[in-house]
Amino acid sequence: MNLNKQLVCVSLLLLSLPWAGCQYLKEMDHSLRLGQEANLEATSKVIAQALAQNPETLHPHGQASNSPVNDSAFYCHPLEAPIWADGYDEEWLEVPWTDYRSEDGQNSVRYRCAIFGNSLALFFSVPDKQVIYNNPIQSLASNGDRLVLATGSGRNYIFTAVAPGTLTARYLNNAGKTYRESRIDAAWADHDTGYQLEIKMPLALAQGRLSFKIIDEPSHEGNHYGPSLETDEIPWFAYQAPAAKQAIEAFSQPGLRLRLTSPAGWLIASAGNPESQGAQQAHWLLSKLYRALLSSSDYANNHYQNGVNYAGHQAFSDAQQGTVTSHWYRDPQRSDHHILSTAMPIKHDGEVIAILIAEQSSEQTAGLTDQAFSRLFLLSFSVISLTALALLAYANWLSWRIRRLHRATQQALLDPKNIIEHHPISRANDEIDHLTLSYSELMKRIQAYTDYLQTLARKLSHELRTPLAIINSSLDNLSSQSLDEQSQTYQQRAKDGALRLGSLITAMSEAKRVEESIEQAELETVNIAELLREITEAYRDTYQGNRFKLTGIDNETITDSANQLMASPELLVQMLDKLIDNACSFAPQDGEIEISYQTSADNFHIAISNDGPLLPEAMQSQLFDNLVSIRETSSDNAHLGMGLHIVDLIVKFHGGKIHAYNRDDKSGVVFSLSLPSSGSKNP
Amino acid sequence: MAKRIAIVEDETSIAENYRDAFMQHGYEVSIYSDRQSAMQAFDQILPDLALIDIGLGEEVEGGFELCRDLRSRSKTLPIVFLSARESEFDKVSGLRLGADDYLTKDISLPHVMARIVALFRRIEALTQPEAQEEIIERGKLALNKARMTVNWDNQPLDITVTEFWIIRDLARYPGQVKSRQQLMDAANVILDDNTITSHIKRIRKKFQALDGNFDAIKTAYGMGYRWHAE
Repeated sequence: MNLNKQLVCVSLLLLSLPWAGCQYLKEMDHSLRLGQEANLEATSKVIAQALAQNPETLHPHGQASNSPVNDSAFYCHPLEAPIWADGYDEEWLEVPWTDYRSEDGQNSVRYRCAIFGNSLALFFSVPDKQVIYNNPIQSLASNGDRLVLATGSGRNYIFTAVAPGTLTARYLNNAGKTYRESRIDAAWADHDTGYQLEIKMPLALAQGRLSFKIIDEPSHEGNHYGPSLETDEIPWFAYQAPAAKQAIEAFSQPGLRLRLTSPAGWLIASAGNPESQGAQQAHWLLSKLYRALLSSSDYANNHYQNGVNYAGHQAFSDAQQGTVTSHWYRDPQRSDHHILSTAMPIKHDGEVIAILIAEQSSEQTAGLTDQAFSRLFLLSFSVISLTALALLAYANWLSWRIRRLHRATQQALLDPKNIIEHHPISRANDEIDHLTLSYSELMKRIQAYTDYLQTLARKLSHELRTPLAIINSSLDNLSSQSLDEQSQTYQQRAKDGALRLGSLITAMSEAKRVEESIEQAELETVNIAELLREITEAYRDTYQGNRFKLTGIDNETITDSANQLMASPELLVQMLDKLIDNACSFAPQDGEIEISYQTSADNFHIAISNDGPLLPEAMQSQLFDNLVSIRETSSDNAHLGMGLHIVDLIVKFHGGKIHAYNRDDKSGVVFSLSLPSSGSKNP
Repeated sequence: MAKRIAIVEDETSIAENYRDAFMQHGYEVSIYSDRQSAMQAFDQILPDLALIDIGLGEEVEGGFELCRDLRSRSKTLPIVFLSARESEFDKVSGLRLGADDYLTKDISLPHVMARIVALFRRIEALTQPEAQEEIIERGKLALNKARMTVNWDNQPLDITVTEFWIIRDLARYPGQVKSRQQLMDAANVILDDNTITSHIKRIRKKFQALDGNFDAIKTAYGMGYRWHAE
């Protein structure tokens, strides 16, 4: 993993920044919600108390607080459009049925109840196997299948038809006389399973109470059924009275919906809208993301009830018990919005007369945190991208500098003569800079050391020459004296020593002299094949202990002018001398030394190969450096590690290449050199 | 009368060793350790031969100065450089200044002696009539052994004693390959192969200066050189 990737990994930690921000936002959101709850509870408490002062506004018909509340109670749904009493239920489709089942369970009837303006409308669907119409000859109100509607005014209206179609409602006065009520419109329609009765009457006629009784002919006790029997008190019906709405509208405020329900849970008034319009919306994607982050499962379980009956509403049922609670509901229209709902019982004389439900959308606070979130998102996004970019750039810069140092060091290794000029200079004054400085210092020292080594031999050979001359001349003078035999022996030994010392000194300065002769070398046309053949003959004489084999050269090759090369023959010979000397010194006694010659399009290839110890892998590249020797044992001849260096100098002068490698079968070593046929690069 | 040899050498031990050797051969020797004292003495009287070190005490190239000075006083005075410096540059500089030979301090005393003797003989030969001289002729080449002169196509070649000996050794038996060692022995020097190579090169150049087509000295790769008679 390189530095860049490492830094990218580290910079991933930056992602904890938005996470922490979200945690904070969640906290904030939570406390805001708590505040909203408390606020809403306080508000609704005040409203509830105010409403409790005027219970009559809630119940314009003076509903008794202790009226029984049960399923059979009439709840008049508000209607959008007026009803025409025609016996058919096209207008009623949105109004839910209410079922009534007689106590013995044998009969049941379905009905609907609604209000439009001041009209009260009722729709009954009565099952009847055999519909018996009214016989107007017998009586207008006491024969045939009929429905008796009981009202708060004490009048019981009787609906019976002589035939399907409109009919007239009648009532009996106290004297038992039948009167017709012309303010009531009603219509009868037959149905597969019985008949349908639609009634429309002014609200005022009902006087707040409503009940009914079905009489099925032939009339007997079992065929009289309905919630209203003569002995019962007629129950109040519930509806959304404009007075009640006015009463709570006084308290309504933007973003707050107030609802009033009867103790049984029927909605009797509604005002306001839980959505506040003012809140500024952030970008839809952001707010979606934000809500997704904040959504928790607390309020997901409660089902929000938007209908007219709050009996199943959690807050409501708490309020029925007299406690005030707040609950969060999912907004049925928008899944990521929530509604806070608080139910507050309104008590009058210790009795719960109504329940106030106050609702607010989560958007009240979400709008606030939403903006905070967008800002947080924007801020952290820009901070992260900025930091990431900066880190990346920094990493790039760092790794660039390290790479540069690395390159420079490698260059210095490849080209030790120009160590210093390769070295990068920087002014950053940091650890890398110090490292660079240390490196270049190290390199300088290495170069100084190399220079010293290179000049040491030369200086040494120069400096040693004078004392050696003193020794030699003294010994020469001594030999002209008359010496006894023993002194002559010592003198001879001293001479031998001085001679060896002399050849050592000469060897030490050899590289320098080769460099000089390279500088002065003059190129001439050399037939390299001929040179190789001649010199191999010479080597056969010189190195009697080894066998020489020359391959790739025959008489034709020699006459071929393609083997001619612009070169310095003396240098080439000197180079071959060194290589052969090297090969012979490593080859075993009577070992074969193979000199092979090949030409290619642009190059002459000469390989000198001998049996013998292998080259250590590590040394192969430095073999041609100055003062490098891989000889382990010291021998009589001076080996200062200059021979191959000289070879390298000469090969380079001719623009060629040389490398040494072990034979594939590990039986020996090959020195392979190639010289370009175009000749030396510095003619 | 004994020949007078002046040794200008800052290394006393060497100077004295040489003096002892020369005196044994009957020469008169005076030693000077720096350029100034040598110049003062030379103002009085010139020696018959001067053996000069290049580096003289503080003066790194004092020997060159001295050589130039001496040569301006006498065209014929044999001057031999004897130096620890072995670079080609120094040799060429020394010989250009008019020195008769350039020896490195590796050389043994007998070899120095042989050279001194040869130089004196050449001086003497120049004063003798020509008839008595031994002349080797190989085509255009004419060698005068006593005067140690070489003529090519009747033009004189300006050469040092070492070079003369090398040419003579090569030309004596044309076609025969002379190894470097043989040439060294002939030239009374102990040198390394490179030095012989550069001597040969220099000799070739000198011939080529006279005759652009000179090609008589052939290289036998790995063995040495031979004189190629036309």
